[in-house]
Amino acid sequence: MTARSQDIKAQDLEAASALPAPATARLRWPRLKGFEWFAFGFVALLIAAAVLVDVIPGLARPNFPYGDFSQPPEWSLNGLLGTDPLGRSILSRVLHGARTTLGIVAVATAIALAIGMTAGMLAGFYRGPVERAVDLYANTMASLPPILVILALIAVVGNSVLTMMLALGILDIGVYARIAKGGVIAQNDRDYVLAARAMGASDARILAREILPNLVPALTAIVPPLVAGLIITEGSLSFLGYGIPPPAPSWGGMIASSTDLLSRFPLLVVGPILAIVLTVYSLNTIGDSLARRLNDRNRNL
Amino acid sequence: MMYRMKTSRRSRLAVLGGSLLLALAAAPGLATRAGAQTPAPVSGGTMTIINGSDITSWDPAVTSGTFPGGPMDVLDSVYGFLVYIDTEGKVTGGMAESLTSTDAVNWTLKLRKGVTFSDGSAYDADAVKFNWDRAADPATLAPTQGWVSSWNKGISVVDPLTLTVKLPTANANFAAQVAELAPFIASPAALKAAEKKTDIKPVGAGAFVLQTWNQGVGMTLTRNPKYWDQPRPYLETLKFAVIPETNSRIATVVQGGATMMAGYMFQFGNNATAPGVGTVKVPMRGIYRAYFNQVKGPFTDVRAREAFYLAIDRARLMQALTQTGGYKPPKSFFGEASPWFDPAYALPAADPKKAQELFNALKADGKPFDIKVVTYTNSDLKRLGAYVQQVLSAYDNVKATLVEVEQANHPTRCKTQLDFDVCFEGGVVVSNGAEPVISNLMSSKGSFNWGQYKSDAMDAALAEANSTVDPAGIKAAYAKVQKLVATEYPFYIFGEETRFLLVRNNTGGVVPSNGGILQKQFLFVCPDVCVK
Repeated sequence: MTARSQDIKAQDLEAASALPAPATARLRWPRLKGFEWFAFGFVALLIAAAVLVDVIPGLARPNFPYGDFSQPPEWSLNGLLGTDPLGRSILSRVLHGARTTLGIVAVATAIALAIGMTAGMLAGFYRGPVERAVDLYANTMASLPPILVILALIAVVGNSVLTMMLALGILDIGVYARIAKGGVIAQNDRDYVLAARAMGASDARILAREILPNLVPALTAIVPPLVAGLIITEGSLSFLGYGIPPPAPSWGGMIASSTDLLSRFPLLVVGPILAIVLTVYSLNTIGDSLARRLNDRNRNL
Repeated sequence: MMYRMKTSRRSRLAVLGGSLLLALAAAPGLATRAGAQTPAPVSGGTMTIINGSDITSWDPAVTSGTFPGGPMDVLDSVYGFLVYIDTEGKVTGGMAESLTSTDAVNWTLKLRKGVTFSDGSAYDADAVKFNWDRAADPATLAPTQGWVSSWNKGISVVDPLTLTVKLPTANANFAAQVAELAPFIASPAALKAAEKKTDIKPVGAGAFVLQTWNQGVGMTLTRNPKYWDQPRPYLETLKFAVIPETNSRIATVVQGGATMMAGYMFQFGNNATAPGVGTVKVPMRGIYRAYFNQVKGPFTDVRAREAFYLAIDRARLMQALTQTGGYKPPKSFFGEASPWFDPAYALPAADPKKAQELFNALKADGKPFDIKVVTYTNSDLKRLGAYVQQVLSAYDNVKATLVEVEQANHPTRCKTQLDFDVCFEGGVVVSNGAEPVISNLMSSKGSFNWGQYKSDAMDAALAEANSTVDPAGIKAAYAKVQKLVATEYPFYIFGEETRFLLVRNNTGGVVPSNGGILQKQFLFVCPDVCVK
């Protein structure tokens, strides 16, 4: 080995050591941009506030008057976003509305994920009639306006929190099924799946142990924007009066109850609109961030 | 002599000064300014009035609500009021010259000479009798059938221009009741030609003639060239447009898409001062009310009705409804400026402690205060209902469920089906005098008595007020009525309000009558700004 070749070898090793090892990169705290920090922070704060809203000291109850009607914001906890047309603290109602909204979309997403992923994985793995059935459902749901589907359901069973959860969940089953099906088809011929098959692993084991873990990153990136979509749909339904029955607070319902007073009290809708806009923005940003990280990881692999 | 000369010189100076003033007034600039103060009616032009809903029929017997923008407001354009109630509360001749009595039993209707329907037939006593007999016929399904049928047997046609009515009992308010309940007369030929209500062609002798009607959207009417009171109507064309949403109606007027709409100042907000628009007060007090179901449910017990009054601060309730302050809860059916108002009998002010005691007592007696509150889906009424629910939920042993129904289904739900415990009405009920509104609301057979309140004492007091023309006697009878209102709580009176018109600022000739209906023959387009 010459000195020159030794130098080249040393340079290569140096350069190679500068590259992050894939395994190490997965453990490292993600390098986030400013707006991504905001998005993660906002969602974390919102979830914490929604969970702990009942124990926030000094926060008024959402359905009881705190001050005079339709008052502008002031420097106090309950008056931070002003009062609504019935004198209730808008901040309190926004936070209680967050609990309701996040609770509904969380359960709806869980329903959609559980059913959608199972159906999609089976469709991708077995193909044939199962795939056609899943495709038919997904295509049908994609072709129907979501509000119309939900209104039809509400017309049959009435509007309640449970109805909203089921209705919103049904909407996204097709989306998750398509993604899962695509992921399974892409993995069907991979070495690790073929190896498992050759070693006599059952279909269930292959799906659960070999394929599912590789679907999780892609699904993780797609969940936040879909949740954001559900929040908008839930808000639209509440705005139209088909959401959570009053007096329970909901963001869409708060906007709806103030629209006729907008010319006189424009600040009434600032609280719930900010809540919806920032939440949807943050969830979409988180989704983009996760997708970008996933792409980076795939490139590194 | 010197004195005479001085006087004469002064007279000449006065004449000269007057002439100068007249000449100056005739100059274009000054004439315009003078016109802005007291504009002279001008013939021609078009106005568009926006209402929240359309009429369902041109049947002259189907009368309900003399509020501006209501069905009677539209029907008036074609049929005209036989007699109407002016802003002072006096019954005034309209299509008829007069409707008078000296003993409150025998009434004489004098018609105008030469008045004809737009189909050329005579607007005479026979036509009036035909219309009133038709309203008394149950097959017509007139809301006032019960009332008209109580006296139509006493109608006599004296001559083509004179008709008498002999009432079964004295009724000093008969003329006012005719103005509110049976004021429209249509051509008998047109009514006979229609096989069903929806076929009725609007053939009247009023100020306008229908040209086109797109139901639910609007209609166009043109001036009736045969109208009896020439040169009225001044407008060449009158249009009605239907826009259900209040804010859209307001925006349409502000943007110049229509001439006027009726509403309340709290609804107009800053739009009342927008460029090009003005407001005109309809100077008639009205009351906001809700009905207690007195056939079934908690409000059959007078303690529940009292507790409802005591539980809610009615001034705050009005503030919740209008989002403006400064309200005082009404003390009685009559306003404090009314000649019939008696300060001795006042509705109770809010007293939460006493209300809670009554709620507890009702619970102890096995009558839990669990009520169904019915309102419209209108945003203001939804807010009102939510406030009632919010306040009541703070009490123990109380449960209030809010039910919102479409405005069109509201009378069916409350009046016909009695499916409520307390039913809130959206607009105010206005009456220039006491009758016929007071009897409609509180007599056992009253058409507005949706809660079916029944009291022999109330019926007797109302009959007593109707049977005399002596003001002292009327006041004594209405004192009894007010005492019953303050002790039996026949219905819930929670606010008083005056209606306003939001108009383009060149709207002239606004003459309200009855409950605020405009006498549209007086409307004209001002050449300049004439409304502030």
